[in-house]
Amino acid sequence: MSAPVTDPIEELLAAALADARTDERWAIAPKAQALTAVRRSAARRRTATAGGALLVAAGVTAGISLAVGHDPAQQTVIQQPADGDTQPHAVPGVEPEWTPTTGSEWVLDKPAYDDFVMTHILPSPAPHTVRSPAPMTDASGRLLRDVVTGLPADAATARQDAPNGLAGAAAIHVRLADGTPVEVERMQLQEPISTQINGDAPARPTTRRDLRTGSVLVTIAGALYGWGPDHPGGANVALVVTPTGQYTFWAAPVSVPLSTVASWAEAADRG
Amino acid sequence: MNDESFEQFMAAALPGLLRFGHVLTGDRHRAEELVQSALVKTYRRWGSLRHDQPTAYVRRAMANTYTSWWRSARHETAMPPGFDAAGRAASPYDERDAALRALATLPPRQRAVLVLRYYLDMSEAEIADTLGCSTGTVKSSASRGLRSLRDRLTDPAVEGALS
Repeated sequence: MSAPVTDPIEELLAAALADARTDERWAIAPKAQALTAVRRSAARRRTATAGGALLVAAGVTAGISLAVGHDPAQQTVIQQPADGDTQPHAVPGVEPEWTPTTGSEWVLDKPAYDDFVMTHILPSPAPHTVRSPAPMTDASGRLLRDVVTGLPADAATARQDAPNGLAGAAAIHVRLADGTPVEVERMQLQEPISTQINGDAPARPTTRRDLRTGSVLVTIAGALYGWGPDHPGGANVALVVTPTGQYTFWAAPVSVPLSTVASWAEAADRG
Repeated sequence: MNDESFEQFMAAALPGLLRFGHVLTGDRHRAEELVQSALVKTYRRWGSLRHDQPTAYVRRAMANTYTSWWRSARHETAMPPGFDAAGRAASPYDERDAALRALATLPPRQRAVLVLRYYLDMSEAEIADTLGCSTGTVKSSASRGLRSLRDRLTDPAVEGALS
């Protein structure tokens, strides 16, 4: 960085990270078979890509068979996405082609997520391009309308568009009547997510339920952190993902029962 | 460029990539996973890659994979052995450890921006190019990250705060 460092905290961080370049605590010895592991993983991806192409070909063949046979029992039921678009679409940038038809397909447990990551090429994250202050858009308006569906009537809310500069995303900051904070964020996913939201920390108790809208509701008890000294113990989290990958994340201090957070999230999904 | 050249590249770059991954994620196992994932992508593109800066390509893949793992959810990050998890800072080195502990609590994008800036000495433009975002986003992420660090490191109620 060309600008001189004048802030003491910035100076401290710069020194700490400069130390990390040589501090042995940050060193990791390469594994003996590292190159072999890379080659094998790359080969598995090629196999997966070829397998995907074969599956597509098989699907086309099966489709022709169904059209000839007219067997209604074999018809595929496609979940109705919330935006009224009845056709599932391949998610851009994911290779081999991936076309989720339910919300549940977007939310994977850790082993399934790891497997997905290792067998698919994933798109780069969308650039965060909205300058602050972000203009008010209907994204936060729609989210607010959904959010208040299940919340107590005396909850206070504040809208935010493009949190962290991400176009199309929205957030609602909620204060319940007793001052308890609840945070809600919505964005469009570009790839599936994992239920392991605590990094490598032990997994938290997780439930999953498919909703009648085609969305999936996932709850995670006592996850995350960061509510501050007034709200110790992490957060109860509810995630809802629609068949089209619209992801809504609810977090409240653990003083708010998980079932309550889940009921708000489900009500918002029904709109 | 052939398989042999990739092998030579890996042998030379792997220790540095693992260290970068460790600083970026704060977790040894996650770092190994991240490097592996980025190297697989690199290996598959090795034939068509611009080979003047393959390490930059791998770092870019690592940074983007890291920030996309948990785009909105904050998560706990472990620290390497030797970092005292509790207690107040008593020396410049303790202060630096406290700064890195606080860094580990930031959201991935803010952490990535600060690591690219101070660990790799990247400019704002280089960081923006690496993360696929605007320089404005880089500035705001750095500013927010430093503000959070300042809050954590100067609040006596926070574990590891500086005296």
